[in-house]
Amino acid sequence: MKRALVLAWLALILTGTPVAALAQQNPAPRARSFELSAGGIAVGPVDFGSATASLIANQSAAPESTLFRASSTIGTGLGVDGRLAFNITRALAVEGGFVWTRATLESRITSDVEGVPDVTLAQDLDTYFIEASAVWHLAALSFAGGRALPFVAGGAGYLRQLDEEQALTTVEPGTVYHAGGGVKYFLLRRPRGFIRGLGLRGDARLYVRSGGVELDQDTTRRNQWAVAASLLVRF
Amino acid sequence: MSASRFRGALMTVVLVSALQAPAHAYLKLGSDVNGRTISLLWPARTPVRYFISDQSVDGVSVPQFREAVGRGFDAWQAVETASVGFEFGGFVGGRPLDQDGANVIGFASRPDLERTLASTSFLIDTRTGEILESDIFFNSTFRWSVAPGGEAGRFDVQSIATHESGHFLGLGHSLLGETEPRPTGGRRLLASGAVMFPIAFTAGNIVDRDLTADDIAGVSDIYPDGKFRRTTGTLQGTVTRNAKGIFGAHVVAFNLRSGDMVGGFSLDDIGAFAIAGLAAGTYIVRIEPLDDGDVESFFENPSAVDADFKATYYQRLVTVPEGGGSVRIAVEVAAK
Repeated sequence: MKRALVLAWLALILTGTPVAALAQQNPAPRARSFELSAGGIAVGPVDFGSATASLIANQSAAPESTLFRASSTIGTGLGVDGRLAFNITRALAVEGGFVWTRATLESRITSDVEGVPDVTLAQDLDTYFIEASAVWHLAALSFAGGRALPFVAGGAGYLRQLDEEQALTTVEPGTVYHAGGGVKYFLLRRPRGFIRGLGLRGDARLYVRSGGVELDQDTTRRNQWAVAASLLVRF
Repeated sequence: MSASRFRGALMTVVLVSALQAPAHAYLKLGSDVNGRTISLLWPARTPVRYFISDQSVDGVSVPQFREAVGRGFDAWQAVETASVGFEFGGFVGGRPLDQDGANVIGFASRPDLERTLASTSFLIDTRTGEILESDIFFNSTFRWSVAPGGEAGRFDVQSIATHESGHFLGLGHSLLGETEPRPTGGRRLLASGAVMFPIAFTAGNIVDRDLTADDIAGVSDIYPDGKFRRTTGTLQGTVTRNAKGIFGAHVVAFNLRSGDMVGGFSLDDIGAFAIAGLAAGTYIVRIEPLDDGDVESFFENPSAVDADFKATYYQRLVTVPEGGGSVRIAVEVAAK
């Protein structure tokens, strides 16, 4: 509640107009209006399984001789999520998004032929998504006295992953698709003024990416979940 | 017939020694020219013409020998990222190892070379490092075969020809393999990851007819075609112990996606290495001492090679970019 008051006070300073009550109002945006959101995001891990560095065996029952084994993962990536939406109608919006996360690409080395102790090798990995989405507001499902507005969204984007030195492109750019939904929860809204509303936005998405870092020759697509929480400004 | 016999023990017939070339390693053969080590390679004119000696051996006729050797050359010629070509010039009565201006490949009886299946010799221009003549002899003391699927108890001509034609092109030995000492001397091959590994598979085995990633990277580095430098990258760095460079450390780059391995060596006083011809991607880097082969079959001066350290992994994954070099990694190893 205290946070809501602070935001309301901030809105007053910005616009110099009184804040309207929110209760029982239709939470859907005006047509031909903008929304801006920015916050944090977590993108889920990827398990690449294991790979074996092997040599061709001579006179052995096994066709290959193992030099070492490596099990590789990308850990959960944490970063920022920013979106600018244009509400075409009260229900439909188009949205441009930018996501940056940093995660750790790790390989656990085991079974070294010369008995080298098991070791975990790592590399920081920066991931960028630049994406476009369609957002459908579900005003009929609004709750919390009209403060909470559920929505569904889907889209596609450009993927780029860079290694920790930020100088070398790890791989060629890839493509990312996403689908999901969430809730916009308005702490305050106003019928007039430059800023028409302030609130919080929560997203849950499923990303399907092709390209980017891939350590399995036989896999062309990877699914990763993501959750994001943002501050939302409606204009 | 022992499986531990060396193949391609490089004979330095005239003016050439199996020096290590300084830049990118697998190993490339090199020659000391005015205090500078340069890679041995054929001049730009291709294809390289070769002749087949008209001596047959038990189980292998001259035409069969020619066809098997031709297939060995074809393996290198088929490498997409290298620009090499060969041309059969005909049958000759001359013996390999004769200095006659012709590249002659054939059998010769050398019972004194009891561990040598075959060998490649060179005549080079000492001013430029260009190969003027190269001969390959197959030691007829051993039993040979050209059977499509190999033949127990006989060494496969095509497999050995593929290895020797790698030398013929200027490639040295690869250390991608594991061996163990034999009680009777020499080493027994346990496993191999490159045609250019110096110790052959057991007689009857035909695995070495097919090049590996290590072989392909090596020949492409010497004879790059237009896209090789553009489409592959280089792993580079140093190997040190107590902050002092190690010469002759074997560096293995393992591509996490493809599973391909390419090896090279640190080749100077600061322990610098550079392995070219790697597919872009993420690599595990493993450093090991040169202890799976006779040092003499890799370096002209074995005493310069430092093998007193434990096998070690570089503590991070390494990205090799397309058309460029990795960051220069520094690997510190510990004494045994």
